[in-house]
Amino acid sequence: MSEKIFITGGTGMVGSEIVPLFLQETDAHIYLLLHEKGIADDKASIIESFFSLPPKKEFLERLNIVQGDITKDHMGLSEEEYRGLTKVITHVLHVAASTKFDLPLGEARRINVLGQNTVATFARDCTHIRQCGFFSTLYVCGKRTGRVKETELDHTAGFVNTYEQSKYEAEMSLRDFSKEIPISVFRLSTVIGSSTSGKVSHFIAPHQAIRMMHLGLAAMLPGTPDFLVDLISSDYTARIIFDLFWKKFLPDTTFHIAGGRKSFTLQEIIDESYRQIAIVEPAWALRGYPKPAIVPGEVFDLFMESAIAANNPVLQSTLRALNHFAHQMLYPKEFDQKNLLKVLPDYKKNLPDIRDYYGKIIQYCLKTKWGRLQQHGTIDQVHTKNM
Amino acid sequence: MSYRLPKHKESVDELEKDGRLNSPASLLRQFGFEYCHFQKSSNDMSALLLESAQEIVTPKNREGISRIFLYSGVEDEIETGSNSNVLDLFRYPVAELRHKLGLTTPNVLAVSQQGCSGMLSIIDMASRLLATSDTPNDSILCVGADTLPKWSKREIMYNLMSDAAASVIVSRDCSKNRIVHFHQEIQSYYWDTPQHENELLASYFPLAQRAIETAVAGAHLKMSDIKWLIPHNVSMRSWEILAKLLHIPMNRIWTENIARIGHTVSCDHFINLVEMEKEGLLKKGDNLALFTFGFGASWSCLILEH
Repeated sequence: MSEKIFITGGTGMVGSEIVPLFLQETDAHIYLLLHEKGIADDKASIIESFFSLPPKKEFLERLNIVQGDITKDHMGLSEEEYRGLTKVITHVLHVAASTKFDLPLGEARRINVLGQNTVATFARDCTHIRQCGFFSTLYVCGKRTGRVKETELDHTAGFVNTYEQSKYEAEMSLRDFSKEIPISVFRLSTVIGSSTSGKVSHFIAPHQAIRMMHLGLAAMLPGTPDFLVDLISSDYTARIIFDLFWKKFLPDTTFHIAGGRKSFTLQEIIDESYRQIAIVEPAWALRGYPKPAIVPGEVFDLFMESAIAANNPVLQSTLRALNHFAHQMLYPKEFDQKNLLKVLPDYKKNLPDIRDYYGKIIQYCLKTKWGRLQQHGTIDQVHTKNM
Repeated sequence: MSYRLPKHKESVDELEKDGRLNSPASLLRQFGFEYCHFQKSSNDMSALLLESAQEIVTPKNREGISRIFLYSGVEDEIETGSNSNVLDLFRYPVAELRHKLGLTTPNVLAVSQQGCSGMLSIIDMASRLLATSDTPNDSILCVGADTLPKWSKREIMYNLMSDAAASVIVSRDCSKNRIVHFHQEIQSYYWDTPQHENELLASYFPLAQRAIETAVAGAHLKMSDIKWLIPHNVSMRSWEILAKLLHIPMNRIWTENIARIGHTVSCDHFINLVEMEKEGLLKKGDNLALFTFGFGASWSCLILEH
């Protein structure tokens, strides 16, 4: 029986880089669960716009679009479609999640815990299931500090935002499923964009922080200058997960996919953001926006309280955008990668250094006006020739 | 140095009742404000200015005054219309002050467009001029006065505003308040204040920190050498934040006048210094850092040795 892979979140930042690997480097059939309405019929356009591949006949034949919703029973599929899939699917890769840091906890749980469990239940229902991969985040460790092992999960340190908490709870609930199905968990760092093209398909909190600097609205960031802001590229993350999931699958194993020392410190990312923005927009540099002050959490909170009290809508929304992730920078930690390095010993050697591609990310952000000119990931307006 | 405030005084509650605040009185109180002084029936600053200057121009020092510098950050209201006389535009308070003080020798000059930084800037100008003077006892009378227009509210960007005038004599051989160093950061991109209000609010703290630290370093001092940080009387909350950024305890920032008077455009430091001196808080040799931010935009810090 040929492999049939069921993938959720296949059009997201990492998902849209993984699916092309399956299409190009395997013979497997892909079953892509898409939430979006009305696009299920147009496979050619999905292949072109989300996966940047030509709509070859072979790809069209191997790609199946399943329109559904992980937050609904049976993923919103009809009984017939659900049962049909459980008879053929051999692999499940659950990528979909809400990466919004400011969702109410109930909403974050609905998507990230219940949604995940719906997919895990589906995997368990599949009669030929061989391998399952579930995406998580490095920050399930929440406010823990120090060295964090891949084998560790339980803690009482608390969380910076509802995303971290919901993903922690999601991992907890996978423990029960892992008794019945083979599961690998991939804990990802913050995915900043493609190291080759600079493409950012989903603009998340760190991009918002850079945008605030670009707008001259970033007054301060909590943390310390030497805090390591762990970032990783979407293309390398996709390659690593493809290898871990497809080529070297290890059940009951968790992997830390982190940028480590090939990321920036907080001071470096501020300095480099200003330098790179000035390269793309020399006129911007003449504005003389000061770099945000790096401050203790209490100072940031005091400033936040003042903005809230003053009811200044622009500063409030800016600070709220920063608030839900920036406090993580008060909890320095290092992510142990023993499991990962055992399976992929060249991981660190091949890991792209953010210093080599950050300029491309900034260029992409500015040229697409922070994603506003983006259409399904294809940016005609962006010229990457000189990147 | 000396200062004058209008006699009329209102609390934030009274101002709120009269519709003269943008924010609720409770917010301004939360930010440390309680009262402000303003001219109720006129926005003529000359009377305040004259009283303030008369207090420090004495028979003993008047002959040494070679120049008068006036700073005013708020333009006078000019009546316009078909019956207006264009000559009304040429009535100069600095000349009026010279005349009413009975001074016959000083040159006069008025400066504007530096927001709340103006007084510190004219004092810096004065000290630089005096440094090149070879006249014994040469001195410059620096005066500042600002009254907000009658129609205006008494709040600017979450700060309660008073009218005031202040006068300072800068002299070559003064034994007190020696000017040690002045540093000013100018960010002219922010020249259009209403257009850049949010960017200004965001940049205030990083640039305030930079201006103060640069001034202190320029005076060959450490932050711990500064006995008093003399504030402009803006929101108490902003000083709590800045104190933490500068690693200065709040008890080294003299904030008593924030509640009593609120913020004047450019006279705060001199009002505060006069009051601190009256309270016996300043000792000879104390290093003082006077910091202010002015629309336009400038972040200024003057280091004095008392």
